[in-house]
Amino acid sequence: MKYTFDELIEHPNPFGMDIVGATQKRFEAIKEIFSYHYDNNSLYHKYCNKHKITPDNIKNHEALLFIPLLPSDLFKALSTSGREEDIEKIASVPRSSIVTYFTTSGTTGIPTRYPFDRESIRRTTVSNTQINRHIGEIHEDSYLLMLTPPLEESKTGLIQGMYMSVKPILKKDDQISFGIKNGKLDLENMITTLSSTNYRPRHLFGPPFIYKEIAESLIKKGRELKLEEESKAFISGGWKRVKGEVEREELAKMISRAFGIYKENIRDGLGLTDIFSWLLECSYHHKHVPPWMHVSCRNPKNLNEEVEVGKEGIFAFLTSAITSFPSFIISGDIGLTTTSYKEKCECGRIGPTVEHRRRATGMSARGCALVLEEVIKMMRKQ
Amino acid sequence: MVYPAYALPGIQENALEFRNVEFKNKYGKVILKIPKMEKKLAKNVVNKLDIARNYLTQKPVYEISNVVSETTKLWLDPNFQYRKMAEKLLPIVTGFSPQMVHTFLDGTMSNMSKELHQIRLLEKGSNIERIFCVLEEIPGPEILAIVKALYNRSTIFCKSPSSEPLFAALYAQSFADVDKKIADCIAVAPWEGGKPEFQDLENFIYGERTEKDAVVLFGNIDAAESIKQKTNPAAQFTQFTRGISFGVISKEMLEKGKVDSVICDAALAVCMYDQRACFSPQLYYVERGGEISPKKFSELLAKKMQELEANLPRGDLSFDASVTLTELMSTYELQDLIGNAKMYGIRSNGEQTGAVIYQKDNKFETSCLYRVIKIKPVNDILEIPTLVKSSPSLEYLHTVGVASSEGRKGELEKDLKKLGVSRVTSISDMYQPSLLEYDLFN
Repeated sequence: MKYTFDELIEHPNPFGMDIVGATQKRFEAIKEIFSYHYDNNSLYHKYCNKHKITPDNIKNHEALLFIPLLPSDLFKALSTSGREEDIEKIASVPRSSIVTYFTTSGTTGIPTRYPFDRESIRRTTVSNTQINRHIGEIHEDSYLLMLTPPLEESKTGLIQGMYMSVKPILKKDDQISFGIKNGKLDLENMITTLSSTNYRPRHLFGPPFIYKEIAESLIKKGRELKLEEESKAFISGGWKRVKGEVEREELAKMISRAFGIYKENIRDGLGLTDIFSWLLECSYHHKHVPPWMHVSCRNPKNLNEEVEVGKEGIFAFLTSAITSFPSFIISGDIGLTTTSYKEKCECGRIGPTVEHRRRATGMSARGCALVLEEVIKMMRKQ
Repeated sequence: MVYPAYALPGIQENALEFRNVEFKNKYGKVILKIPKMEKKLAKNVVNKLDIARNYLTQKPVYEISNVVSETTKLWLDPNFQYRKMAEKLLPIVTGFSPQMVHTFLDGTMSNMSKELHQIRLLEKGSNIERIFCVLEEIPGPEILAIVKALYNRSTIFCKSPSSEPLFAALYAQSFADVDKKIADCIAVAPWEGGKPEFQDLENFIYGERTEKDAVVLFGNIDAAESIKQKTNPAAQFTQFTRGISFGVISKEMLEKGKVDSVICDAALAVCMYDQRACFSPQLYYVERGGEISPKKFSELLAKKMQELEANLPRGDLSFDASVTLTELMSTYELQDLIGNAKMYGIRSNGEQTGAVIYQKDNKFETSCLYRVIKIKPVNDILEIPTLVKSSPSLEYLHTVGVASSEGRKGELEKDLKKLGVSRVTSISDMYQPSLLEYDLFN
């Protein structure tokens, strides 16, 4: 049987589908994966029963809002013990099918783990590849310099995921290289690497703080580069380390000056760590959701309710790409929908598009009671 | 309508610059008028307070006590103009439900009228002439600080938080209905502490102090550290910072005839102030071996909290707090299905307004507040000090409420005090701290 996910992912222009068709296919793809998890995951089945939802209730696109969501914190809580059998409680595949546990670094220092089978790895990789191809406009002759350590020096999803999803687009292995070696940034080597390649256009990828460091050095030394008109600077990873020092607008100016990249080609990506995906910006700086995913902003007091376009809500991510655990996640992230799924973005691609605003500030009490996060903050300070 | 959220006695309104701040939540909208604070104005206020103090110094303490007592009586009258204003506006400014504000005012003022006589007798008196008091977002400490200042014949200048500038101003203004000259000894104004634009002002307020001054701080630990550094070492510095509290229920209290009242007290201690106070319990340790199990206790507590929700509803939650609470509640719901915890939800109008979470392990853990209480079993309540000892929260422990036989309570109290717990009391007293417990002049 061919899943709707595969149909969508193989579409020659998934972000250029007609809106009605894409909406119907999104509904079908998500409903299929929902039915799969409902049938194959006893914990999720119980959870759905508790919420009185079965696949029969999901009759149309609007009903996707009723799919029970797993909180991002659950993965964190189940990862605390470090025992695989705890995290397997959330798996929809047998233990023997789990080939790896992807991790994300948590703020508490304990990595959060996610069980992946081969099929989920294939699907998430293809999903990210299509996003990079159709929104990032990376093509087979492109070159990508990753301003990160190489694969053997880092297992983070940010680096591994980007490499795995870009490589299938390119013709040869030497079309990707890494700017940081042994934990150090070698500016001269980076300049040489970029200058010596014949692949065009040359793109960059990295976290904001590295861009800042490199751009500052290039400008200070008068070694500004001039990449191609189509070159892009893809930004991913936390803004935490540069916030307070430099705002996004300021960083874009620095990157533009240091690499000769147009501002519309400086593209931020929103990493959805729980589902190992990223949403990339188009030239209008709108982060596009592919038709095999459903990202919406919900009312925190009623998760079955979507807030209006342009209003802040709690992010809910549903992807049809993951088979190894129910990939219907409610996070602690606050954002808004900037283009509804019924509209097209200014760039001509279909919606929805979203914008991440912030991580919820938590329960810090308006009072004199201390909450755990404050205790942790104070311990760190000490 | 715009309401003034300051009290600057002796300063003409036309000498002040104002800004309006809007507060809005599910209880309504209010605009508060806030003066622009700066060093010159603060100096002027302090001069006026110094002059006003002459009246205080000549007044016998019993007369001051009468003024406080009369003012307290006024606050107990539902038709008193300031009380009416507080009941109307505090839910919007603080997020507490109107019923909570009503209960807080009734409870605090009646408690105070009972304690005033004792406070007068017990006050040691000090040579402090001026108190500069930094307030927290939760209403209450201003009452304690103002009353104790007056008994000491000190003037008091309160810095109210810009996120809740109202109650201290109303309380200060209310003294004028009984004795205008006493009201002239109390100033209240908000500003955003620590911001660069208030550096000069804060250098004056905290830095230009002498041995005749005291800086008293109710607030978060970060602010306390920074204010302490700014305060002239010649001045007296006292801090009451944020804290964590928990409760203990021993097996002998889980017997028929006792358990109902323990559950009632335990539910009230959680619900009062929506768990936002430093004395609110975040966890109850319940001893095994009683007539009912710790798990059954959790279920009964949830039932009582649900009942309370009707008369003392949880207040409004900020958007971010709602997001975090939603995520947490879903996590516990799933942990319940896995068998790692048992969650008893409390709901109102389709919204989850609290939860009792029973967990089998006995690790000391805090809650996310806003009426989410954890219940953990222990084999013996005397194990608790050992469990608490290894927690990172140890140094922030504030109150431990104990429901137990006197003998065992005494033994537990001794061990808890060794760990540095400052207040061990009954569960019913957890949320009603006595004014006598706070020593402003250390």
